[in-house]
Amino acid sequence: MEDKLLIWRLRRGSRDALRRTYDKYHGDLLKIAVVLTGGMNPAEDVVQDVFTRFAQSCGHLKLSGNLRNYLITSTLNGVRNLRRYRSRHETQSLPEADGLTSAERRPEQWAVMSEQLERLAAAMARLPDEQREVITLRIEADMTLRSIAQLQKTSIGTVQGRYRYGIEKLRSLLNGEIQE
Amino acid sequence: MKSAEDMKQRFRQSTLSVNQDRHEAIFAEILRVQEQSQETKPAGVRPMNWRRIMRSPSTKLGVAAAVLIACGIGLSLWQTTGSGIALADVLTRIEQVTGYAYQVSSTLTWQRITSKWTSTVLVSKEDGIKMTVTASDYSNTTQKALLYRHAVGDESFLLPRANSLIEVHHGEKTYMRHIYDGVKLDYYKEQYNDPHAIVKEMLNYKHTSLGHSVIDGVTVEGFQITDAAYGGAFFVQADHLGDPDKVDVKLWVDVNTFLPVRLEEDVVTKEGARLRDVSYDFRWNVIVTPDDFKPNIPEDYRPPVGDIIHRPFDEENAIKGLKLFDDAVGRYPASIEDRTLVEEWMKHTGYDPNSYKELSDEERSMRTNELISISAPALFYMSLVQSKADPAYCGQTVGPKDADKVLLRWKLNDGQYRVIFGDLHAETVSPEKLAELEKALPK
Repeated sequence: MEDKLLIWRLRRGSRDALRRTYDKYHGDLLKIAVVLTGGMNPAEDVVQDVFTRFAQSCGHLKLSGNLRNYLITSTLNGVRNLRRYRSRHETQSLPEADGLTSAERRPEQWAVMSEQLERLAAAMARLPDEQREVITLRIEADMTLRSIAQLQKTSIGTVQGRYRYGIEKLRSLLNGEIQE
Repeated sequence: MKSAEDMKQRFRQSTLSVNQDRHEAIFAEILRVQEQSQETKPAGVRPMNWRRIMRSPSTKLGVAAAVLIACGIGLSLWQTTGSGIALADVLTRIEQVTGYAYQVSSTLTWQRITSKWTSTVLVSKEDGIKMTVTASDYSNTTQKALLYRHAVGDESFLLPRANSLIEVHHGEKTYMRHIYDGVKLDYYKEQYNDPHAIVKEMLNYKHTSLGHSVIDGVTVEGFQITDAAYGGAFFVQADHLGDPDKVDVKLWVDVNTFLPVRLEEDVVTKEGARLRDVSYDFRWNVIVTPDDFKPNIPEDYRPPVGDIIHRPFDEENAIKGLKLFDDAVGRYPASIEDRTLVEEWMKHTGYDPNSYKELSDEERSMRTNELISISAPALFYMSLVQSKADPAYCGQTVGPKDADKVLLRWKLNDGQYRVIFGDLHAETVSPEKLAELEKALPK
């Protein structure tokens, strides 16, 4: 209910509604972006960009329901864009690129990762993009497999498979069964 | 499933802590963008279609001036918002192409009028856009229909280096030159259905996927926009055709090259006009030379209304317009909220649109630009209303000698007010100071 009211106010240019949306969802989005990109710096860029675009377009936002899912989808799209950009502009393989970005520190970061989150993000970076997306969207964003299938333009069966194999590999990585 | 539960537990335990200073700094930036967006994109304001209005010298010039000047409003609308990812890739891809060509078929249905025409468009990233009408057909040749006539062979050139637009009507042996002084040309590219401008515009709106299809043997993916606020369809901005009511835009993109294959725009306005544009036969990476974009205007061709200079509708030009009005009429216009300003000026100066034909090219140009200048305060005021800047105008009670009285005021983003006083000097004042000043205004 609160989100519907937020959307209504956002359409009318409310600063308070933008502030509330920002405060309410920045943490979730940052965490999702961290596990999808493998580092805080790219995650910060993606989430800041999501909110910037959101601020530009919220005046004509056509959204009847779930603001959180909208922002999560925008974050996912931002990460995919970043991935495409990297694949076009960098010769490095993605995990290495992620690792480098992750290790860099800006003078002032939006957030600091806990040790567990750093480990999780590093392990997630070793998974294929599709598995990483499915696991993040299922566990962190609490999305249904059907919704994820729609986002990935694939069948539920494929998504289930990606989830199952991704979880197994992630477990092995985190438990040290797969060596770096 | 134990693994899944373990992993969920790991996700829950993985946290991050926010740096509050950075958090606030980022929000300040986001807020600035929101405010800028509201400031530069007044709801529903789109540049109006000067091209079709000014085609006919018989159009009331008072109206035409207002329409012309309205072209300047909303020019900086290029926010790359929206959720489209593939569309953003399409835009990137188009930007890599230096020269391309395509055909546009247009049909306008309005009341008893049906106009159909086809054009060839040539685009150079460096040199501009050239459009040539290659076929046309009309069901009706009433006076109104003349506004929408496109004669075969008519050409128009959008020339970024000269910041101008030139139309050449070979059948009538006339040409028109628009010069944009401090106004960006980007918006006008939409008038040519330039896919670069159209995709950029589409990114401002929510779009849906139409899935895959095949056009002329090419596998394509479709995108659709139905938001009535979409401004890419260039016809619907003419004020007498009304605002868009129903919009259906479909873009089909080659799945291998990411370049457009077909663009369909179908717009129905609140006045019942319907425009359908189809862009097709795209040829990417064609060879273009600067000579392709040099208008050929024979010496015996004449401009019906002279060169038209477009300027932004800002404080500076509003002041110039008010001064011009005062110079001609001896006072400020009673109202700047609508066209009465132009009508009032025409009445007092004995301006007769019918005498236009008898004027020299230079005089016609001067007259036209005078009308544009006179309309500037009204259009500036309109933009303030639409951006909810709390404007107020007191021309009925404040005159040129009232150096300390508020003639026009509006709110700035920081909460302060900008005030143009009776003697046309401008100051920024606090809300408290404004209240004090307005108390002193004659009732």
